[in-house]
Amino acid sequence: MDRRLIVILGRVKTLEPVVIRGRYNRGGFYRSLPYLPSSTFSGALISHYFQEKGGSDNIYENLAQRYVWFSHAYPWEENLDMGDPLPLPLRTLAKKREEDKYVSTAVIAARIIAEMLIGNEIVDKIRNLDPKVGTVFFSTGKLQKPYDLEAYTHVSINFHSRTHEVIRRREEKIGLLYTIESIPPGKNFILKGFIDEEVYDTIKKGIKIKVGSCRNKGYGEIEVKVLKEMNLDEYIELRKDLIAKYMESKYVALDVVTWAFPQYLEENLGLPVYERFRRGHFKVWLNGKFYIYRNMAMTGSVFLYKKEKTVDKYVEMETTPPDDPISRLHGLNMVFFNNPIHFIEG
Amino acid sequence: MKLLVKFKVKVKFKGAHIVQPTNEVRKLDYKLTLYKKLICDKIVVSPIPPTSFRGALRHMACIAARNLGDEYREAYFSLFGSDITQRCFKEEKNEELTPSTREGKISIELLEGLSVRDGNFEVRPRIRIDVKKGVVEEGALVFSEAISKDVEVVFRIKIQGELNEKEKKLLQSALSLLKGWGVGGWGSIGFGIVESIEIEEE
Repeated sequence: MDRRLIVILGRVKTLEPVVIRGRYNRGGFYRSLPYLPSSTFSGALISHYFQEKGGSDNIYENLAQRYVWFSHAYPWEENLDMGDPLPLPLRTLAKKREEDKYVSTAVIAARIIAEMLIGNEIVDKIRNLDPKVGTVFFSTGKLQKPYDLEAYTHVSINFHSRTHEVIRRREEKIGLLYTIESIPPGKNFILKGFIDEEVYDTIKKGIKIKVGSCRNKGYGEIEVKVLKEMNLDEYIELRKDLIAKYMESKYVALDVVTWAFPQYLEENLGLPVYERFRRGHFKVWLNGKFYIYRNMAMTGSVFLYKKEKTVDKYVEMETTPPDDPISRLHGLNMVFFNNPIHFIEG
Repeated sequence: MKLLVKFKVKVKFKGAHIVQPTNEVRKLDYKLTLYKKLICDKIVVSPIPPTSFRGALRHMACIAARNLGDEYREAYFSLFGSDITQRCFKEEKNEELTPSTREGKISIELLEGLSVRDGNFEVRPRIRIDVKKGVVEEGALVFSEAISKDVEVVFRIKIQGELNEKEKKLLQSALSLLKGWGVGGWGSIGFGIVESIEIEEE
C-alpha cells in the first residue's frame, strides 16, 4: 500500500436536493437512503477529478491510478476528532430506560454467551435497556436522527395530450408518474476518507460536485470541505493508542463502517463470539454494467471477537484499502475497532 | 478537459401552479411544489423547479425539431438525451431504453428565485360544472395553492461539450418557442405562462 495516503475527515453539505435511490417500492416510489453511500460520493469525486485533470478513455486505468477509499457520508451536525468513530447506525445501541443515556449491548451479550453469565444482576441490567432506538447515528455520546426527507411526485408529460405518459413493456402498461424521496438542501454530513495527495489537492480548498440521480435537472449539488487531515502514519499511531485503551477487555469490538465481506472478516479475525449482523446486498452502476455485492455485512453491524490479535493487526485492517480499485471506489471493507460506546458499563 | 458553456436564463412567469397532492382533503387538496436550493447560505425557493423548466424546454425542442426536419433528430437526442417514452422520435436502436442510455448535454440549475417571505401564495377553490344540470358536480370541489402574481426566476443552462450548428439552432428555437407556453398546471387558465425570457452568456 502506498504510504503517501492522507486521511481526511470531511464535511458534506447539500446545496440542492439530493436523490439517492435506495429502494424501489411498488407504485413508482423510490425511497432514499438516510446517508450518502461511499460509492456515490467516490464516483462523483473521481469523475470530477478526471474531468479537471484529464484521463484515459479506459475508466479502469483511471481508477487504478488514484487512491480513494471513503466511508459513507453520515448525517451529522457536530464536529469530530480524527480518531473518533463515525456516527454509525449501530445495531447494538440501546437506551437506558430511566436515563437519557445510550449504551451498546455488544459486550454484555458476548459475556452472557461466552462466559455463561447468569444471575439477577444481569437480568436487571438487560431489563433496563430498551433496544428499540430506531435508525439513529451515534458517536462520542451524541445522537443524530436521520434528516426528514422530502417526497415529490414527478410526471413525464405526453407531448400530444399533455397528460401523463404511459409506456408499454412486454404487454404491461407502465404509467410514468413516480415519487422520489430526496435529502433537502442545507443538511450536513460527515465522512472519513483515505486518499492520495493528488486527490487531496483537488479537495483541500473545498469543492462542489453533483451526486445521485437527476443531476441535470437541479438535483445533487453538494459542497465538500476538509475538516481535518493527517498523514497515514500519524493516523495509524493515533488509532493504535485509541484501540489499545480498551485492550484490557477480553473482547475486541468491530463496527462495519461501510460494507464488509463476511469472508474477509472471518479470514482475518476468525469466528466472532457475538454478532449483530445486518445482512444485505447492493448494486452499483459503473461503466455500463452493474456490480452486485450479495450477503454483505451492512453499515452498523457489530461483531465481537476474543482478543487474539495484536493492536497492529487491528489498525492494519482499519487503514488498508482493498487492492482492487473497484472495491476501493465502492468503499468496501471499511471497519472500525473498539468504538468506546461498546465498553461503557450498562 | 471537457468544455462547459454556461448561460443565464431569466424567465418571467405569469403565476405558477405546480402542485403536489396533500392529505388535507377539502381543506387544501394540492400544495405548491417549492424547489429549494442553498445559495450563499440562504434557502432560495422557486415555484417552477428546474425539472419542469427542462421538461418544457425539451417539449419545445421536440416541436422545433419536428418542424425543422428529420436532420434535427440527432441534435434533439444530443441535447436532451434518451427518452424512454419515445415521445418525440422513435429511436432506431432496439435495446430497452433507460434514462441513462444516453445523457443529454444540457443541465439546468436554479440561480435566483424567491426568498420564502416573497411567496404570495393563495389558496384557490376550483369546481367542475355538470353540463347537463348546470350546477356543481358532486365531489368536484378542490382547493389548491397557486401564485397568480408574476414570478421571476433565473436558471443556469450548462452545456457539456461543444454545440454544432444544428444543436445551436435547435436550442435557440426551443428557447424562443417557450415564450407564451405554460409551464406546469392550469396553463389553460393562464398560470405558468412564460411572459419573457432573457438570455445572457456567462
